Amino acid sequence: MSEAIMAAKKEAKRRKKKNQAPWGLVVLIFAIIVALLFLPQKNLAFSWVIGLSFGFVLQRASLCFLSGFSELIITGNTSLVRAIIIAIFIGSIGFAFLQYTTLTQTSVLIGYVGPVGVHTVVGALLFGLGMVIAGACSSGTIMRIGEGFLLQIVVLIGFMIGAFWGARDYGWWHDKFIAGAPAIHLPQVMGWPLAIFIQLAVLIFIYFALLKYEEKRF
Amino acid sequence: MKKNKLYSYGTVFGKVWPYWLGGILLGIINIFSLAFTGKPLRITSGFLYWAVGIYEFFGGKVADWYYFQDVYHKPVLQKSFFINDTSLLVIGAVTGALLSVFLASSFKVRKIKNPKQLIFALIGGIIMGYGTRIAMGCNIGAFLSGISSFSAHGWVFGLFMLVGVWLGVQIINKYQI
Repeated sequence: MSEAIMAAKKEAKRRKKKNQAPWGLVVLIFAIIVALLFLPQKNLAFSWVIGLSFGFVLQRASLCFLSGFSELIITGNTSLVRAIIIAIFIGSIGFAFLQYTTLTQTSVLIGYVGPVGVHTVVGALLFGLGMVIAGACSSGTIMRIGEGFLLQIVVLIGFMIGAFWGARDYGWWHDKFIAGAPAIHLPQVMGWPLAIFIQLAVLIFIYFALLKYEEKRF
Repeated sequence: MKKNKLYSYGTVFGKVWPYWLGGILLGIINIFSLAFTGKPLRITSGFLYWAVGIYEFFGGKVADWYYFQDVYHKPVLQKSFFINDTSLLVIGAVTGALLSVFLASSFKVRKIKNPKQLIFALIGGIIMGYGTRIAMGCNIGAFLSGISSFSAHGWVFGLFMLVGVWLGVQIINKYQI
């Protein structure tokens, strides 16, 4: 389904319904109060505001990772995955700057650099499979709960059970796979200039390869 | 509502933004997250903390779990499982989505259609949740933020998540679920 049709449908639906903007205002005031409440703990206040904008953008642009991946496979539409590639591309540039400066100043590596190995493969496979079965990814779950979907509350409960279970088994996975797996931070392997160049080049390549693939499928 | 005016209320809050714009903003928000909170965007650790918080409420103990010996997860033991940076980020995201939906006047409680849907949602959620703990992240923490952090695990996660989705689609097609 094209974006235009989806947008038109939403628009038509919206017109039929009552104006809910006053409720939006209530939520906004609530959000501001919470932000002020946590202001003494700067980290919490920032996390709250960043979470707010994160959820807002996800919903406003209906960025659903599951739809992105499944459309890529089923219909060949890649516009969503390409948007995610853009997000990673922009993120990489900012992360490179922040990682480089903190690393040289404090020699602490910020960001998520995790051990890679069998556990990553198994976990990612499970995650992809579970996503299709549940019909939602983790950001999608959050966004849909905000939209009023009761089903995603069930997905959330499943998520909590699964994460609990996984954390309980973590020791086993750690002994068998994670302990021996290296955390590979690309700039520390090949140097900053090359790592940034290669990563951005690969992302650009994937972006245009997806465009080509889409043209072929349609 | 006025139509096709670039900065009118209707275009900004009533319509769906293009994906590419969402992508650009998502990238920027992730940078802000790392710059101002010291951590990139993430979600599922928040889900785990809530589950563990409930477990502890009913008398369970997790302090001796190997998982919480990890330098990254140990600090949460000193704080609350519900009031911490990750938890606030996730609750904030739900609130942000709610705000967006209200401003577009498209909030609606959508019921679960049938028991099958419910069971699939639960099982799928459990499988995903387990996967996130051993792979260290979900589509946001491991994939989006992992790759943005120049970590090899992010790339591997993205690739095999795609394979997982492909597998899932094949299974659903084959058994006509």
